[in-house]
Amino acid sequence: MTDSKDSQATTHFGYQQVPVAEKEVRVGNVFRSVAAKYDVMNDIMSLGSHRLVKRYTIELSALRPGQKVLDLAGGTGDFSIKFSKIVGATGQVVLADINEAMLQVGRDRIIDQGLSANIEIAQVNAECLPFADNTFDCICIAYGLRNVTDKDAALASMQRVLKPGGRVLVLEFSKPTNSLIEKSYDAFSKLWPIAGKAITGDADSYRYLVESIRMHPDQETLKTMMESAGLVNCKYHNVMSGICAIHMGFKPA
Amino acid sequence: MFKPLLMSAAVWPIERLINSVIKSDQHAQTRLGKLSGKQLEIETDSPTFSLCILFIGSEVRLSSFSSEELATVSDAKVSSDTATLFSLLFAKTEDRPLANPRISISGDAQFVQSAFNILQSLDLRWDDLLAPFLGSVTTQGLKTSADEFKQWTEESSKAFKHSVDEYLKEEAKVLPTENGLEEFQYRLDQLRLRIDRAEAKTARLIKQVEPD
Repeated sequence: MTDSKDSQATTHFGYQQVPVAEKEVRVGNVFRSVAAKYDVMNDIMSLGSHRLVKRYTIELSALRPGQKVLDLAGGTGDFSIKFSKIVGATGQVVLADINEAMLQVGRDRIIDQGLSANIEIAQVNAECLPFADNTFDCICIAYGLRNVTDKDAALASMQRVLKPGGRVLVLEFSKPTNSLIEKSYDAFSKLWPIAGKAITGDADSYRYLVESIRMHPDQETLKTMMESAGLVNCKYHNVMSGICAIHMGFKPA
Repeated sequence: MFKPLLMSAAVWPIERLINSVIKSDQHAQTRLGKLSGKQLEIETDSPTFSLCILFIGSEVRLSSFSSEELATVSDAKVSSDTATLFSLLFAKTEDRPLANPRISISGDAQFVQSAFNILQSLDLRWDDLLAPFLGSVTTQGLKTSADEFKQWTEESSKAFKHSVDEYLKEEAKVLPTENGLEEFQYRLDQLRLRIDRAEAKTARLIKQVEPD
């Protein structure tokens, strides 16, 4: 969240305070650095559990054939590929990300799997989505919101482009509800920069990842933010004792 | 704590298995296509469990959430206890198993019937499903063993039934018939009546010989 709207405004980048304009550049550099090995690192850091969490999120999307879905901060296209199979030829998926390096990886995977017929790719800023009002039946942002500089603006923008009755799903790291799991998870996540260094040659990006998780709003705060953005019936599902949380909110019908 | 995630994980292989079976059955694929976009909810109360089945083209998607949790409306809902629902998997269509008072169906009953008919008509060849994982030689060995076991079970069952039938026939010969039993019961009742009369007569005679 920005501290103020003036030119001196700062925001957090991990544990650091940086000028608002600089955060976008820095986050961009982080994802440019990790894009090629992003999926491999996901498997290592989550010990494979991210696949289950993603399936859980897709179940909650309750998508039907023919619907239109926005995979925001979709990067390497994991969700878009799965959404594409559900909405079918009559539906549409938009894979959107601010980072061109991540989108390139996603685009290549989609083309390789022959799924480009109902998937469009767009480089967008979540804070000001370039889509018409009431466009999507579902918007999913997975592990992306914590990297957005102005989360409130992003949520409001999502609310605007969502169809009445449509749903927003926010899958994000959150605050563990069990102290034992929290301590174990803290200890485990300290290994991520080491793994990052070994696999991608970049420890700093994974240090940022760990720090950004700590700085991300907890479950209740994010729920309140979603409600403030105009979403209703907001609720969240803690996954793995709150290590992750899936927030769900609806645009009033 | 991890239950919803584990439930979601548990239905995943089931979904893949069902879709693998469907993939190998062209006829089922065509019939499933007609149900595309529809959602069937299955609810059991022992244990409490909900499963939503979404039909997408010629595939199905399983969700371990109820339609209420998903904030959607199912086209049909089937509720019953687990054992009854499980028995549907092995029931024959001609026995009309859905017309069971223990099964409650709400919503589009025709859709439920169609989905059930497709389930019944699935050509489940488990050896084709296992072959990619175990290899054709191992799978063939397993299939031969399974077929031999099945044959042995059927023959044993037939022999046991035959033996029991014969035993019961022989035993039936030494047992009285139903008519015989009824006749014996009638005669016993008559005898009881005559004893009662004899007792009453005796009591009257005693009274005459030894008045108060």
